Amino acid sequence: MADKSVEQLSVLVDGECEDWEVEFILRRLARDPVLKEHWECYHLISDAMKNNLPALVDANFTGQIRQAIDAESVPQVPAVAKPASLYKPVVGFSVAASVALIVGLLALKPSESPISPNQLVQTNNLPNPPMTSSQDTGPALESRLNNYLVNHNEYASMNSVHGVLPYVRMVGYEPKR
Amino acid sequence: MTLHLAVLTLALWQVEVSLAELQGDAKEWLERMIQATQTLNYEGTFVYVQGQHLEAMHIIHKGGMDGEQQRMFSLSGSPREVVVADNQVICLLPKQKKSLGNSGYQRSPFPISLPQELDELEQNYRFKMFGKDRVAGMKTQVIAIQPRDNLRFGYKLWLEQETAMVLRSAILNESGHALEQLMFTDWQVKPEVDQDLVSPPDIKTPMPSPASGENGQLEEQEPDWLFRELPQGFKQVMYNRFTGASDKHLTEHIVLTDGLATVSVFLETLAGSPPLLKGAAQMGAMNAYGKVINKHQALVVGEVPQATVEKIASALQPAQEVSTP
Repeated sequence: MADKSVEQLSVLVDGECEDWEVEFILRRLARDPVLKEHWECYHLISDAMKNNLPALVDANFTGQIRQAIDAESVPQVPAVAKPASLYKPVVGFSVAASVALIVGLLALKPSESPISPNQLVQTNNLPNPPMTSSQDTGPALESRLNNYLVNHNEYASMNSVHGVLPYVRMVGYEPKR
Repeated sequence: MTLHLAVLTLALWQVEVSLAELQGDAKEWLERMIQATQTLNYEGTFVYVQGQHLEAMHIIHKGGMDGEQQRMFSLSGSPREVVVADNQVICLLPKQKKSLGNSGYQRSPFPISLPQELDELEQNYRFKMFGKDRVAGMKTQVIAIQPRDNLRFGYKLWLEQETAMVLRSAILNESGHALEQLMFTDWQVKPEVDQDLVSPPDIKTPMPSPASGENGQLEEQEPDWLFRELPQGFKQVMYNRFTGASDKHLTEHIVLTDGLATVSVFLETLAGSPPLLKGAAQMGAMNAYGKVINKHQALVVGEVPQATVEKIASALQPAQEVSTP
């Protein structure tokens, strides 16, 4: 797993990272000190190869900047009580993944009667269970179906015997690659 | 002759006693397991199998009295992540995402957390010790939860010898075939878990709230629907009505459970639009059945056999029909 992260980091330094990967790598980078060291190393190598280095390189340059920032006094902001609504349980979910979820649901076992001519029925008769895009399946309808499955799995996740299975069902079905 | 009968009676009695002991042991293991899943700090990697579908994921879990915190992310395919923290469940998925969200459900412990609920479960399931096995290089005790009828699925759980944590689980249909399986390939108890590893992400864009009313409040009322007869052991544990933030569609959500299996019934007015689902659909252990009733789409979804969702769908009727003679 660590190797994979380092590999992704290297791709990011080279500017060859897919858009959707960037935020995941940055989030991991923010909380992984080993990965941060790799990040600094890669940039040092890159600068050396491009002949962008000064005559003297201070290996602890970033550390000193960090210390300087820590030493700075932070302006005091009066604490504001958060409105109660912020503490409400929130579930975020992707249409893309949940589209795949409902298509899987429908594709594996065709319904007794067609759903509707221009909605999800196209997926039922194809030989290989497909991952359809939202354009041909009616995004509004799908979004309602998706909500149902997310709501159901969230409720199911409260039962300890099921462990992490309901969470896996929320993200375990990939959108089209 | 009398002696033979006495010996036979004694032998039968001993078999009964040892069966009861085994069942009792299995319940103790399950109680320990529930404790372990809620209180342990751990980190591990698992695989999830459903039909032809195979996924690898990594999980970091922080237990404790203040509530569980957990982050899991995919190791295969596109990056996906689920964070459970501060009574929130947040799913992060690749770029083409548009967030849907806010179910508004309070994440209170499910009734199964209490040992006496395990006693009630015995009306519909048998608990059995199923020998020993090894998972992720660790010794495990296998426990089977077998349904007493065909209206629910069975479960097999591999519990780590020392902690009783579930290292492998399978949902089985009536012929014993695994519909869904999850197995850790690496698992470690952690003395402490760094808070940063399980903190919820800072999501800047506010998410829509399909589970809340116009003022962000959940609308709680009496259901407009009733069930003529529910499948054996199932009872209603929750009713909720909510409006989708994007489409303002009023949806009613009824949750039924037999203490282990969960079934959701969703109802929304069709208002001239085509139905979302008519008939049966399936994915892994999840079965769904849709029908149109009184100009409403009814959708029944749950980790139960097809016959059970179908029975629940056909038992559903408007409350008015019952109250009016």
